[in-house]
Amino acid sequence: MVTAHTQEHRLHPITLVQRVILSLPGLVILLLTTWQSPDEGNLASLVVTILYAVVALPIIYLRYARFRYWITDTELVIHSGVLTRQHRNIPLDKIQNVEIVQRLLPRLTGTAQVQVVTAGSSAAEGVLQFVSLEEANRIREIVRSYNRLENRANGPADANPESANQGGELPELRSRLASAPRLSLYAMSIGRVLLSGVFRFSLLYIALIFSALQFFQPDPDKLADWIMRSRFEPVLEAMRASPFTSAVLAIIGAAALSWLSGIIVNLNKFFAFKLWKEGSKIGRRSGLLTVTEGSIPLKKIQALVVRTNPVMSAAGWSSLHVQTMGLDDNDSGHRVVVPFARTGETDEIAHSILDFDAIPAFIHVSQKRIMRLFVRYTLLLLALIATIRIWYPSIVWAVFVVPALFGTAYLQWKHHLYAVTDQMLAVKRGVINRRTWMLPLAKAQVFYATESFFQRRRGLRSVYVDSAGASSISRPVVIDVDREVADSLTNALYSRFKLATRSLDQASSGPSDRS
Amino acid sequence: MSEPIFPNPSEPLDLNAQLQSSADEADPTSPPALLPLSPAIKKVWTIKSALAVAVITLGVGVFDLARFFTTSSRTLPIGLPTIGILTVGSVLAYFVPRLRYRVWRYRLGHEELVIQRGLINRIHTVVPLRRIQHLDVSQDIVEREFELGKLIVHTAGTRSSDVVLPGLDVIEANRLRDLMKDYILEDAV
Repeated sequence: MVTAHTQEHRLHPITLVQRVILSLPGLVILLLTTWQSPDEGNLASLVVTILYAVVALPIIYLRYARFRYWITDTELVIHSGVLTRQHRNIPLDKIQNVEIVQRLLPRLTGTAQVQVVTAGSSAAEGVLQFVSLEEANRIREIVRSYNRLENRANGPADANPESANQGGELPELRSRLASAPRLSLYAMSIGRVLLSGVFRFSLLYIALIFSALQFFQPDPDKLADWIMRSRFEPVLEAMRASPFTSAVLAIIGAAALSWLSGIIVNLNKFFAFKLWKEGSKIGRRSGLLTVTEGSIPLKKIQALVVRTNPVMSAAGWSSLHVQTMGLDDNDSGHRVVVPFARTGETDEIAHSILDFDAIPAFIHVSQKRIMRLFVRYTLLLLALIATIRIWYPSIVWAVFVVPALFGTAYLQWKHHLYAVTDQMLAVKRGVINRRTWMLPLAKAQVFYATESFFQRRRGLRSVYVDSAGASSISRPVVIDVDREVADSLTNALYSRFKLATRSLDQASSGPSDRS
Repeated sequence: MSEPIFPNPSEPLDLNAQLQSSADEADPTSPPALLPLSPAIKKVWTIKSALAVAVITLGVGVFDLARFFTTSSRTLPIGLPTIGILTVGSVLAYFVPRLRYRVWRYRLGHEELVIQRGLINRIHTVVPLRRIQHLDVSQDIVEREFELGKLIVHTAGTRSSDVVLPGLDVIEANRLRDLMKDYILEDAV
């Protein structure tokens, strides 16, 4: 079917120009020291420039010249490397996803970067940087039509019925149509994107800006002088006069700045956000300067996580993430599928992604959790006070914080809930950073029931269902349920897991006759 | 339905009763009973703990000796830290492995491997056999001396992607591995 594709391809020639441009920042950094102390003479600068011309430019050309790729009937073959030659063969049936990424520069030149992602590796295994946009779409279509043929060849029992219906007939015709039939799940208007930025409040960007300033180490007085031509002087005078007020103003300024930067970051990231379902995959596309498009096979989704915070929650907003494994992902196994939506919409989308029964009322963990947390926090505070008291005896007054600790403990308990259905374990955790995990039991990996020394004295246990790609920092652990409840919960979860996986076995022709 | 997952939840610290309960009354709902590890693991753990105590004692001993040659403050008599560490360490090195041995239990069921462990924090783990990614049997130099082996079960989970079952006779470890090997699915995750 695809013998026509078998000819060798090179990258788009514009790649050369782009790579030279992309290498310029490196040159600038190399030259920076010479620029900052020009009295050292221009010799070092000259040497660096010559080295760049003699070494970097030929390498850029050779890398381009040595790069070949082609697609055979079964494989994507990439030959690359200047000194070490690398021949990479990626079987088409192992390709999970073909991502087309367009950063600003390639977009201006009508090219794109193609990333081929396979299972079992966290990084993209084949990167074509850069090819023309038509070529990128062509590659993706070849891989897609191959997967469709595969599905059809494997027979209706094995293939997902949906993808068999939609993609089984006429793959050649379908491959010519640029857009396959898509069931749109969610789209974000510009207003929502901006609003999502309003709720995204992170001091990270401020820290980045300050660390950038640290790098250049500008003298604030001189800088102000230079910008304002001394018109700034009264302000500086006022700052020196009242340091407290200016500190408060600086904090407010930083907060406003990070607010603004949050809006800008979200605008760049989620501009024209679209989420759709296409056969047995969900796809998403968004971005202003860098347009990213990618898809996640439904089979690879291990869990769904709804995230929100008190402010967003009060205004009725939340976001939805999926937990995956073996895909190229930037944020440790969690990918945003809905950056910002009404809580009702988020639930609806979650249901159309995973198709599960509505989750009944959530259950609180044992109220003993409040006392346990309160005791823990109080002991921690007392230990802290005892230590600091050595230097600041007046810190003893901090014991008046203790009632607030009880409030914190109560809130922790109030927002820690769980629910079990035939197919799912759902867990809510967190007061500020609120997460709701929805873990399909058919995807569970290992079941844990644990009992710490202190839990044992109060007759409590924790229950945890591990899943592939779960975050190692925040986990859906059900902490502090009564011993009998914990035991029946563990047993119920495991027996439902067995039922769910057995019905999966019956749905497909056999558990292990696929390659 | 609510079968207790630790042998005797009412008195979890009563180790003798626990030992008896698992030996006497096998749980009728789950055919294979929870098994203890090979008793030789007590010796292995004791040797390893003794080595650790020896290293720590040596370090404290050097510190003590250094104090002997300096005129700095001597709030503690020379030799007391060394003797103290040695005594406490020896007691722990003797008793802790025996206590640990008593709480360790495992069971290979039809569809799952169940492991129970932990002296202070007790952990009950159920590994469904269909979730196994791969299996290892390993032996370190002390275990080799006692013909013991560890069975390491790797899953795709992230909390502890490998579940370790120590203190098995090497023959038993290999037998378990071969039994479980057949359950490894080709397209996991």
